[in-house]
Formats: sequence, structure tokens, C-alpha cells
Amino acid sequence: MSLRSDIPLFSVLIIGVFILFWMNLLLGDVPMKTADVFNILTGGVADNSAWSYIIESRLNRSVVAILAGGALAVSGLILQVFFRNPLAGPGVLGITSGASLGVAVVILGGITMGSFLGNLGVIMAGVIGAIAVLLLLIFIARFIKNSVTLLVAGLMFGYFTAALINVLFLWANETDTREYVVWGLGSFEGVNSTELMIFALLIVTLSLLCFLLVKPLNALVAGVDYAASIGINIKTTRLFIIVFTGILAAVVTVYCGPVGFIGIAVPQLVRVLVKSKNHAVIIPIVFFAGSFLALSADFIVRMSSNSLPLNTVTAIVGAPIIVWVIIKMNQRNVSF
Amino acid sequence: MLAFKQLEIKVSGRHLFAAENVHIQSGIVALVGRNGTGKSTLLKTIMGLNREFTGEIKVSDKTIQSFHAADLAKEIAIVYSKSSIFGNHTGRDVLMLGRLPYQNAFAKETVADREQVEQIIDLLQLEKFVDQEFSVLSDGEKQLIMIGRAVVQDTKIILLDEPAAFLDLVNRHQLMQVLKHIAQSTEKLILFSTHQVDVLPNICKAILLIDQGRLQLLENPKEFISTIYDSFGMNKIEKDEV
Repeated sequence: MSLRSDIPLFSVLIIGVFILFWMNLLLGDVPMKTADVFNILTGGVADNSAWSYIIESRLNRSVVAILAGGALAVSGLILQVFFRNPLAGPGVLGITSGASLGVAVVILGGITMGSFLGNLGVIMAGVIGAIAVLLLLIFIARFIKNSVTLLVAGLMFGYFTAALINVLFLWANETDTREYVVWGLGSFEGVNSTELMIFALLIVTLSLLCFLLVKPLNALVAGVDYAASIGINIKTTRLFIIVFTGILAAVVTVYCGPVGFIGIAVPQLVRVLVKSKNHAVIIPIVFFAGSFLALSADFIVRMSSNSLPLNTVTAIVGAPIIVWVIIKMNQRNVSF
Repeated sequence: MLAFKQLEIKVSGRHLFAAENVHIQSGIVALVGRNGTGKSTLLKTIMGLNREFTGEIKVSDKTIQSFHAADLAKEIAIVYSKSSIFGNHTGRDVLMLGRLPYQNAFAKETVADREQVEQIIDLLQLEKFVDQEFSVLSDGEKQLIMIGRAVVQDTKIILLDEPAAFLDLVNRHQLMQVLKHIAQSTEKLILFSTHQVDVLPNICKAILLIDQGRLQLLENPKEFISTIYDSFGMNKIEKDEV
């Protein structure tokens, strides 16, 4: 109920994220000493000059994981409340697929992520794809009251866009196809410092903007009709939800590939653990829980010397959580 | 408290019903009409959620269009016939939702908010189940919590859209007693739509009847039943059966 009762959970997550962050800097194929890492981070020089490149890559990768995990989880949280369905998320609803289609059109068209303009183009294409799917979903939601049916529609968008992408492969050359397939496995790796700046700016700004949705989300748990009766402007809220969740999921998808399971599993877990029902408290907790899960998954990927794809790890961790929540929901006889 | 002036309500361009001059003061008022006559539409229109009408609807002497949505939520609260909560909210958490119109952008709970909730728990005697999870409560208990939530919203008017539709006989009776109790201990207008007209003379001081495209206010409890039966053509049906 009060904010105070959730401070332990919040602290555990922050400390967890911090520990994983350090482990990600120190451990790997080339183990580092804490003193060296600290030296490099504060602008000093280490014994081996190659180390600063390794640290930069590990640092970027960890920051990307923290931001991407948080963004996917917050996006999933908002979609779950809006569609009143614990199985909703950017992946299930086909929003990531929409972003993927946008990315596929650009990458398979031969434009690489390397240049600044290429970067911007891919982001725009991803965002347009994601928002197009969201608009389509909300349009369909007018005719489908049952939210399970709506999820099936979302899954179908996923299959449909995947098929469209396969068709695009027909015209693409081998290099572009390879680039796209590798991207599709998901990874927090390979984002350079300039890209990281754009990425961080977008994710942080949008995550902060999500706090505009605190009161609407608190009200929407009782349904659209009740929310409207306690003074929530439903049209504005719907617009904000489309734009914020669409862009958050799209930006992450563009840089990291279609990362699965974080967006749906994290909000579910947090909703069980958190005491407060106020989204001003839930949003930051969900963000850092997403960061925590993403960093853990990336840590496992790195410990396997990058031989395990990110999506394999998130599926192994995420799928059991989701099944557990479904079982728990059925025990309590909650309809959704 | 609530007034209609030269009101005409439409649905997708089709005339639904009209009301000339109706003033309703505080107390319990029932809204009666056959299926499809526009009871729910009237409640929606009063809430400011249906713009398809001509004439005036006034709440506390101001037209509903002159209110911001957030301010109208401080004047009118509503209870629907069925409710579900997404999440593991307790009854108390649901009651607290009624304070949302008064909270800042971060929905910070104040001491006053909590006191208000406590007060309503006492008033409606909700202690027994208020700390249980909402989703496991019975339909009757859920509806009591939702009525409590509307009272917590601290409005002059509470609308209820067929609040007893899914309740058994005992719970219906209890619901009516609760509405009576709220009307006696506050100065609110409680307007509820219903199909159960037989009990109304004991509960309401007035009835809003929608029939044949017209909304009228009945103010004599002794004539409630006969007027409603007459306008629905029920007396004729009974005679035919004999």
C-alpha cells in the first residue's frame, strides 16, 4: 500500500543490477582486475592498451542491456494493463514483428546500420512498423471484446510479417540476408558509442514520459468505463500508450533484434512481488527488474563465449515464468 | 442537483427519448424503462461520455459540457452491473481508486485519502472482506466494494447502471438497504436503473420513467406501480390472460 513497503524490492533490484554490471565488466574471455577497470573508467591508462577497447565494448553492451531490458519490461507492463491481459507484451502482440518488418525492408534493401543516416532510417522504419501493428490491433480490438482472441490476432500479425520478410529474402543478396538473420537472433552487442548515445537518449526520455501514464494506468485496472468515470481522458491515454510502447519496443528491436520474453515475463513477476498498486512505484521497479533479467541473460550469453543467442537464453528463463503465472491464474480462477 | 432542460438524446442519429423540464433533488431515484429505451445511454450522457444530445444537462447548476473530465469526476461517480479488476488488488485498493480524481500526477495517497476510505469501510460495514483480494470476492461483495468506491469518490451524484443485475435475491435486498443507508447519511442523489419495480415504493422518493420516447418524473410513491404498469401496457396483458 504505502511506498515504503516496496523499498526492499527496489533496493535488491538496484544492487543486483549494479553487481551484474560489474561482473559483466570484469568477467569474460579476458578477465580484468577491478583496479584496471576502475582506472580505465576514470580516464586512466591500463597496463595493456587493448583493454580499454574491451572495456568500452563491455561497458556499452551492459548499458544497452540495462536500457533495453527496462524498456521492454515497461512497454510490456503498459500493454498488459491496457489490454487487461497478463499475456500481452510487445512480442506476443506482434509489435516487435512490425518493427522487424520495418528493419527488414531497410536492411534487405541494402542500407547498413553503419552510417548515421542509415541508423536513423532503420529506427524510423522500425517505429513505423511497430506503430502500424499497434494501430491495427487497437482497430481490431473494437470488434473483438475477448482479449485472448486479440492476442491470437497479434500472434497472427507475427506470423504474417515473418512470412512477408521471407518473401523479401527473395530479392536480397547473401550479405544482407546474413546481416538480417544474425540481427534476428537478438544481441546487446555491437552498439558503438555514438549509437549508444541515440539509443540511451530515446529510451530514457520515453521511459520518463511513461510517468504521464501513472494515473491512467492506475484507473485502467478497473476497465475503460470506470477509468473514464474517474476523469481519465481515454483518447489521449490510448494515443500516449500507442506512441510510448510502440517507440520503446521498436527502438530496442532495431538495435538488439526482436528480444523475446522480457516484455511479458517481467511485469508478471513484478505484479506478484510488488505491494503497491500505484504505477508511479510499479514503473521504476518493472524497469530495473527488466534491466536485471536482461543483464543476467547477457551474462549467460557472454559466459558461453557468445555461442548462445540471446533469444535462446531469454526463452529458457522467460517461458517457465509465463507458464507458472498461467497456472497460478487458473488456480485463482481469474478470467482474462 | 441534476436537471434536464429540453433534452433530446439520440443514438447514431436516431431519436431515443426527450425530456422537457426535469429537476431531481437528493435522495434515491430509480430509472425505469424497458430494454433498449435508453437507460444506460442516459447515464452515459450524464457522465459526459455521450455527446449526441441537444438541450441541457445541468449538474450543480452548471452544464456538463462546462466541466473538465477530471472535475466532472468530482461531481458524479458510477457503478456498473459487473466489474473486474486487472491485478491482485484488495478491496481496500479498489476503494482507494475512488480518490484518484483528487490525487496529483503521481497518484500520491494522502492521509486524508486513507481516512476517507476508512470512513466508508465503517459506513458500509465492509471490514469483513475489504482486505481480501477483489477477484476472489463473491458478486455481492464485489458490488458492495464498487458502491463503496463510488462513495469514496465523494461526489454529489452517484449513478448505478443496473447494480443488482447479477445478484441473488438476498444480495439485491441488501444492496437496496445499503443505498438507503447512504442516502440517509449523506446528502447525495442516488440514481439507479432497474427492472425490479415492485420494491420501488419502499425505497425511492421519485422515479424517472422512460417510455414511448419520453422521460418523465414520477413523484408519488403510491402511483409508481400503476403508472409504470399502465405505460408498459401490462394491465391489458393481465386482463387478456384472464
